[in-house]
Amino acid sequence: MDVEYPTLVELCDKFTKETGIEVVLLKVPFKDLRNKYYVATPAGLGPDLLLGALDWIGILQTTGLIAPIPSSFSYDDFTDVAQKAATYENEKYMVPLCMETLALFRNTDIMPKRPETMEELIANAMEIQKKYVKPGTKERVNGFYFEIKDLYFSIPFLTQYGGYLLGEKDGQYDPMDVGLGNAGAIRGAEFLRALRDDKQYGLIKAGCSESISRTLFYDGNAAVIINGPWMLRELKNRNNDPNKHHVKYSVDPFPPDKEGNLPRPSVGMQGLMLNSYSRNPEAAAKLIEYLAGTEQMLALSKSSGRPPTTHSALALITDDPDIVAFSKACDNGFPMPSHPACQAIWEPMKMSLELIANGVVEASVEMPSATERIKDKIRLMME
Amino acid sequence: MKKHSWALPYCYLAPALVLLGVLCLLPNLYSVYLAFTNYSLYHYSNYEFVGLRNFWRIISGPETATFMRVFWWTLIWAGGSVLFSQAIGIFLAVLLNNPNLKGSNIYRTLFILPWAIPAFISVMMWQGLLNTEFGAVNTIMARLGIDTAIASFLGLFGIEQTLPIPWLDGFGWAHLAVLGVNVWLAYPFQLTVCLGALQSVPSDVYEAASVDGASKLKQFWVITLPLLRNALMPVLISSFAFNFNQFTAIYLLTAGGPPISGSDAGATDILITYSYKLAFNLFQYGLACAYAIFIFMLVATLSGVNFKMTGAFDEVD
Repeated sequence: MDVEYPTLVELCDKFTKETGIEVVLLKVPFKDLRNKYYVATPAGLGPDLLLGALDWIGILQTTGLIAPIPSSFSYDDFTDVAQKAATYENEKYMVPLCMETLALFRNTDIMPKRPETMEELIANAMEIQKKYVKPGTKERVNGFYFEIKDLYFSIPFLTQYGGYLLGEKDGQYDPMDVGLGNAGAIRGAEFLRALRDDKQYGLIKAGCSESISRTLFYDGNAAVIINGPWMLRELKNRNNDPNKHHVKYSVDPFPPDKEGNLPRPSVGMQGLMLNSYSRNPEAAAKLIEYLAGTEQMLALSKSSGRPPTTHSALALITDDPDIVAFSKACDNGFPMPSHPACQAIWEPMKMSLELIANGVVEASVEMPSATERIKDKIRLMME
Repeated sequence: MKKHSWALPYCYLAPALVLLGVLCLLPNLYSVYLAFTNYSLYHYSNYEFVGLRNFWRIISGPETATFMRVFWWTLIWAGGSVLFSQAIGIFLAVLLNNPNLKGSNIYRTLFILPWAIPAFISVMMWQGLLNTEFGAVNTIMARLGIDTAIASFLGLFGIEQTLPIPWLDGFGWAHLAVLGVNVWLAYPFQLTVCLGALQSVPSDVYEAASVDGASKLKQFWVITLPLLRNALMPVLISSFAFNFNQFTAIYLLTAGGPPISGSDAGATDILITYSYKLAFNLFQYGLACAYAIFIFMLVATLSGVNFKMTGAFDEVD
């Protein structure tokens, strides 16, 4: 969340002027943030408020490191997805400030027309990969490229036909109900294999990675990639830099297929969590109220490129087509489960998806067996 | 004078001992303790002592198949790396040792380069070079037609190989690529040691041998190698122990390599990378510590053998 840092500083300064409460912002590199919080908080040296991601709630609550948001805070203005995401075991643990999800980034020079269905997207991509030549060069471009084996990028296709990460029981996530082995997930996995298989679509070769997909897009060598709002800042910077290649792009939510099945990406949220060891809970609560106000959310949203989470803020964002596109994509998505069992799913699924994509195993065999293994692992972890 | 002499050595050793104790000994003891608990994501603040359960899981539980496969590959990996890097090292050292070779300093500098570049950076470069679709290795091979040559060669054995060659994602290819990069990283060290050892071989032995009519090759086999053996033996064993735990090369190249169905460890995972994945990707800290203890016992045995054979710790009388 480092692009929003200057905005956060501004907002906190305004808060200090209004209320006289001093706010110290500590900026930590994202990959270290979680571990530092785990270590510092039980020692009493943690921050009062943690600005972190949605899927941390489960672990932090299980390990006793965050406290529920005080009931005096009203969630009425927040969207349904945001409210659901912030809830864990029937208590609210996070005040979401912005949400993010995956969508399609399309190079409008190479693919000018927005595809209405997934079939159209694939057909266009195959045609582009076979015939399109970059103007002024003899190079071909990639029609459709993303990191297949990363579950985060592939999950829209698994949920398209009925797969899901964690099922629910009594309003709470059921760690034993992993929906990646059902018929819908298998069908989605077969689609992923088709993307790699030269005999079917053959669009994406081995060794694909997210960083390569971004590089291809920035240099105008890819028509469509899958990525999230965090890419917008770099893209806009490059488009403003006269020395770099400019890309005319459009952000589109995933289109449904011909039968109307909609790929549903997972929606993450970034928000404020309250440290259970905090020594200034009332001041922290005041800061939460302030930052969740409409004006402040709009400011954060503009600087981060991510849609805000309250209805009133969303109603005011109509001028930035990228944010509008992402907020529509978030509507179509499902909130990332915050249960700690979810953490056990990513890595094993990554290996299974790679095996399926390479054609080493059949999707109909591997997905159910991988799901069983994951459930065993979750059970082992909970012992 | 005599009164202080017994304490003085301890005073000199104290800073190093304290640092080692706090930074090395304590964390290791803690991880030994953790191996006997069920510390994991779910049992983060309330883990409990479970005795030998983690070890049982490795020896006779569902983990065993994975453990045996990873263990054998680690042995092949360490052995292969040492064998090939020493072979190349000796070969190049004999070539460079020739007093008639002009510009041997330049050659020596060039050959030492893989060792001079930080391993982290060079391995990441190799990861880019070996990428299936965009890597330079495959691009150059395609342009020169080498890849079709390799495919037809393999076709003779009935092996169908689709191009471009999946250096980091294909089952056998990933093993080759990873071994190749490690040998590239390791041979300069072997080269340096061999060069040093060769200096100690007196040249009149070679002269006597030529007078007796021995060919260059025979001289190498009969004179050079046995004399080098004493110098190279400790290097061989310590290299083996080092490569046994060579985390950087494997993790940065393939992150454990093409996955294997039904297992958490990839095809090119060695014990140390698998243990890392267990701890940080799968959050099974207790099991990872149990693996770490296994690795420690194996490497400690190797080091013990090394010390015994070289007499490194024998008291000098």
